[in-house]
Amino acid sequence: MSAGYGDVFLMNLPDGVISNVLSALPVEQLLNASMVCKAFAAMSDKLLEKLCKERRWALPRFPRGQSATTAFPWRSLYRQHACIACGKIGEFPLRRLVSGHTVYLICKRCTAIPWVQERLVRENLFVDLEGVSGKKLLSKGQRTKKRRLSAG
Amino acid sequence: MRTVILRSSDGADHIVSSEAASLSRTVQSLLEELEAKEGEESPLIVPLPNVCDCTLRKVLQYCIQHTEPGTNLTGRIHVSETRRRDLEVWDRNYMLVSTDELYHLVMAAHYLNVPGLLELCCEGIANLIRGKSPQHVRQHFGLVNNFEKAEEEDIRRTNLWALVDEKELAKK
Repeated sequence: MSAGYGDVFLMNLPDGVISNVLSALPVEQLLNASMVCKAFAAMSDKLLEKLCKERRWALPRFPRGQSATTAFPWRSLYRQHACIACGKIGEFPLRRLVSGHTVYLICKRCTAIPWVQERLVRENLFVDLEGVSGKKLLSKGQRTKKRRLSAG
Repeated sequence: MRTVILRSSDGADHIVSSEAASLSRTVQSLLEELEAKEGEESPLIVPLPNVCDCTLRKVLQYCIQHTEPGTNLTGRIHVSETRRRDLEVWDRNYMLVSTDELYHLVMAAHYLNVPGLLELCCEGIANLIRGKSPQHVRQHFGLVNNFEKAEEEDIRRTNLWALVDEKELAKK
């Protein structure tokens, strides 16, 4: 056996092994790994398909003769349902809409993270830290900016 | 308990119990064939032309460790708690190998069809991928970015914020 480190490593592994490797990764790492190469993307799309089907998320239907516009439909489907910052599925207090379509969601935990808030500010969005009734939406210490959410 | 001789690709013999050798499903089915052909008495020699000596030794370490008294072969359900914890620690230490060795090990585990070892190796490789940027993973494992332009654009557009892109953005 001549194959070795840094030369041809994962390329030579059988497909079954690669999919085993990928299924050992947490979802957010799986999304990351799917950017490595085509084989990884195809394999992780299969894993995400399973995940989506467990949750009964279905791909949007397309008119006859047309197929999905993306090469990896399950990946984008999963992304639509998960937090854009951490890739997990959880509570989503923040939803960005453009003409009625969801562009992204951010989960509760991530809205408290400073760099996520910074990025939101760059997109002219703000995290609402107090509810309409004045109740605090995030716990103490997590509040850094006080502005109303303006999504649009 | 019978003993079996496993012969690696470079001709070195390893004598193990048939119990340990049967962890490998490939060896198990070969053994059954041999027994049917040559009868119960003759020595059982299994040639393994795809596995080199040092890798086989490493694989057998795993097999022997996982068939010691107290381990249940079928499903590991009745194993005592302490024994299970010991095995976990042992597995973790066992995985402290170079990437090169890991590669040979995973190939051997795949060929010999040792489910537990294969799973362990896959976790090991997954740990190498974890937390690395796609670029870094490609470098580390010698993979090529073979996406077409449109596909890559598509994937980049639906990327997570938490991943490397965000950190790069923050730097700018």
